[in-house]
Amino acid sequence: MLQAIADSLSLGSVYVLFALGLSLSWSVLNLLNLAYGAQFMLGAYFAYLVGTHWHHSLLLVLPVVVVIVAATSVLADNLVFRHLRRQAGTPVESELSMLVASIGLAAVAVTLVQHATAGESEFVPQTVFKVRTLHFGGLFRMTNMQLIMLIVTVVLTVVLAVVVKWSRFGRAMRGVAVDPATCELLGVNSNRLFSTTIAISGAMAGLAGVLLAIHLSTVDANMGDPLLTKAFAIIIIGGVGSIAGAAVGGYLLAFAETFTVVYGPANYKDAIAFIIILIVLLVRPTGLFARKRWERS
Amino acid sequence: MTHYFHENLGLIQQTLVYMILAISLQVVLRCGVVSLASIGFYTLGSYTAAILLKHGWPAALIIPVVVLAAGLVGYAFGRPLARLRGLYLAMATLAFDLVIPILLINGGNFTGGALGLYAIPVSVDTWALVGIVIVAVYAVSQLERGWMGRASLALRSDENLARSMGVRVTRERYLAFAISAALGGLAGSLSAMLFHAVSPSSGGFGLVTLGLTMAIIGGRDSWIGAVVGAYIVTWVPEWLRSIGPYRNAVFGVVLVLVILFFPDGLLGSVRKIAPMFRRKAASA
Amino acid sequence: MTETQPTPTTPTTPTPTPPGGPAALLETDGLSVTFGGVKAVVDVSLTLEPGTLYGLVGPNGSGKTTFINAISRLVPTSAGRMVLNGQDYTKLSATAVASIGIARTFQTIRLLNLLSVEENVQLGADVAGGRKRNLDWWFGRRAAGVETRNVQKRAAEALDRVGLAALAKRDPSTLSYGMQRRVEIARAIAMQPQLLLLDEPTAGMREDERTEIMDLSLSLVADGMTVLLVEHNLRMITSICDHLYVMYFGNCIASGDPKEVMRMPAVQQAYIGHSADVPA
Repeated sequence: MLQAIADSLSLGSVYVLFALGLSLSWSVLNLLNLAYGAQFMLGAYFAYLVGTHWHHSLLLVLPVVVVIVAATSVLADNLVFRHLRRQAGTPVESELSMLVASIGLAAVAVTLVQHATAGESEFVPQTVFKVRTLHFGGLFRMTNMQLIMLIVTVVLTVVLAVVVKWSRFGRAMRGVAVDPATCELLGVNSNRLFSTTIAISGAMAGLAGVLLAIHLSTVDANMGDPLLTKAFAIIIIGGVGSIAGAAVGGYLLAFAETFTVVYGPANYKDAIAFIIILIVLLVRPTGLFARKRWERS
Repeated sequence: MTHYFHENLGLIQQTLVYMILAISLQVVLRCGVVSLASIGFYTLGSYTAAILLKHGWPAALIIPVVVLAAGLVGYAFGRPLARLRGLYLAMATLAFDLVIPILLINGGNFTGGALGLYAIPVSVDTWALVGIVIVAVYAVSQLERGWMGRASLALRSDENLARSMGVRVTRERYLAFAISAALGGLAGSLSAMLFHAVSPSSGGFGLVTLGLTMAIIGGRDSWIGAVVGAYIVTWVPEWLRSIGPYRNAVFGVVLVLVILFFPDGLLGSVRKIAPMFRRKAASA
Repeated sequence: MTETQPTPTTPTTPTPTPPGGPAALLETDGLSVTFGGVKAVVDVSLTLEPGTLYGLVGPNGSGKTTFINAISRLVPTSAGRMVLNGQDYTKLSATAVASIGIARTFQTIRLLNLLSVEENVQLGADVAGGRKRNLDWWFGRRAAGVETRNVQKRAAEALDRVGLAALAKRDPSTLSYGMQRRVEIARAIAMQPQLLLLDEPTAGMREDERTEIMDLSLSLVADGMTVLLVEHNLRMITSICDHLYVMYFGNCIASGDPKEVMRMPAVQQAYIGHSADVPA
């Protein structure tokens, strides 16, 4: 039982980390980024690539990869999303266009990596990070990577929450989510803000990718997809744009899945996320924590 | 000519089936209802047809049953989901599309598990297929004419205006949803009857990408766009056979380019250039 | 040219009440609209008689547009009643308002760029025909064909009435602001309403266009329509309206003959401090 909880906590941490980036881009940019799973996968893939070719430790590999993935986000925004936002008639149109474009980008990324890995699974070499199991007084075990994921998630969640709530950047982000035009008039450079936000979003995907790649010791081109839907479930549970909501949602989902595997029909663990999405959207579309001002009707 | 026909029969049939799938998406996108659910209904329809065929049901009975069932289920889902807007609806329907394969994989012998169902008897001949496609496309084209056509465009552009013009917004939305579901189911059942096998992997994210590409490339303002899109998406890879494994990447690039430079699809852009063309076709 | 009045279809929750005047078209009784803490419309009771041109004026923020939104049911009322032709429609859905004979234009241009000018007007003409929604449309092809021609005719007439028949096939986004406004009015007229609500129709128009709108309003009223004109241009309003209502901070502070109303001290005081609107 305790082990199940420990597993849930570490699983949940990955989920939360991943979901936070997606929630950010959804709430601030109105971008339902279906390429996010692919970006996560790129994080894992580049961790493998950089790790095998340059044999450095995590301390070096991690920031490099995170920057690379963040760069892909900024590139996508500059080349594609920004123009779509500009040319769309209604908000729904711009959302749809960006959604469709993100699907296209995802397909490109996944196919290229599929080709590069020749469809095989790779793994991040041990030189980057050595996974060791830690025993906690015989009650439960966790690997050092799982512990790192937990700590990183908690720290990042708090930092993000603080930044969003109290910093000038955070205020600008929240303002732009609600009314970009007025914010422009108030001196907020929305293009730069969007770039920064999407970079952060990409960075989080990359971070989650690296950590999970090490934890699972496997990297394959399709690893982003199942995680993507779970991220959506989490955001929907917690409400778009709510950091606390994403945190709660992530751990909740992780608990639900772990307990399904341990005590219930294990095959359905992936279905849980979808079912949650459907139920929550039907019953309480705004999520458990959504704040009105982030909401788009 | 007949030689060409026989040589490419598979492709021709695939194009026809995809035409129905494409209009199933186009029909909702035109109204501004961002529902991707017809993909899920495609998968469900194909499995239902496969299972019924294996139990000896005749195709002529299966098709209307599947269409009706899909329409009713779509209507039932559509009522609560129609309240959702934009991305939330897209999310919900995408989740629906993605959960179906998982449920099918875990369906044991009934659904054939991860491999799906095989050796399904071919039960529809090509002419019947053509007939069905013509009927379906005609039905959808009628929805784009007259007051229904105008009302659905109003619905997409400006809901409050549509309301003050007496358009029953919520009702139109879930009707569109139901029709989209029925068409998805139709396409799915036909595919089961033509292509011998159904499997969970034929649905899911890949099919969503394919379907959206078809609906967007041609242009979602009209059924013609969807039909053209289906044709392009099925035949162009054939012509560019050298692409082979990179196919999805090329689709992705094409999708991004189309949405950037031809947001109304190829057809929509043509229409922008030739305004007389559009007025004659739509004004009635 | 006469246009037949459409018979109003019964609203979904009809509660027949004895009408205020002998033949009042619209009557509001203690109508109030409150959003959050803001009292946008406060206890407004007014009557609109058929075949009359009404003006509704007041400084910015006085609640005129909210009032229009309330009587066209785009905004819920917090208190009070609205009665059209003797039937209480306070709880009617926004969608049904079009079919009971109320048409309106908006302060911002709301034309659909996906449709041509004449298709936009046809959107309004669809309403007048009752938009047959049952299977008749599929099986009664002859009736549907007739209806289609009727819709086209109504739309063409409405477009002609605002003087834009020549622009029927154009894309609305290519038209000037003033012309777009006129198309919107054509769309409203094509609905063949009993009551036409025009929310600041001449904003952004040139003087000659303004005069056209004035003439149009007068001719519509001469044909039996009731028109409520919300305007800022007091000179225009006082010259053509039969009856003027003045709103101030959500309240209706004056009602009567336009020239007399404008001389009332309460009205003058309301406008002082909003000097841009005070007529010479």
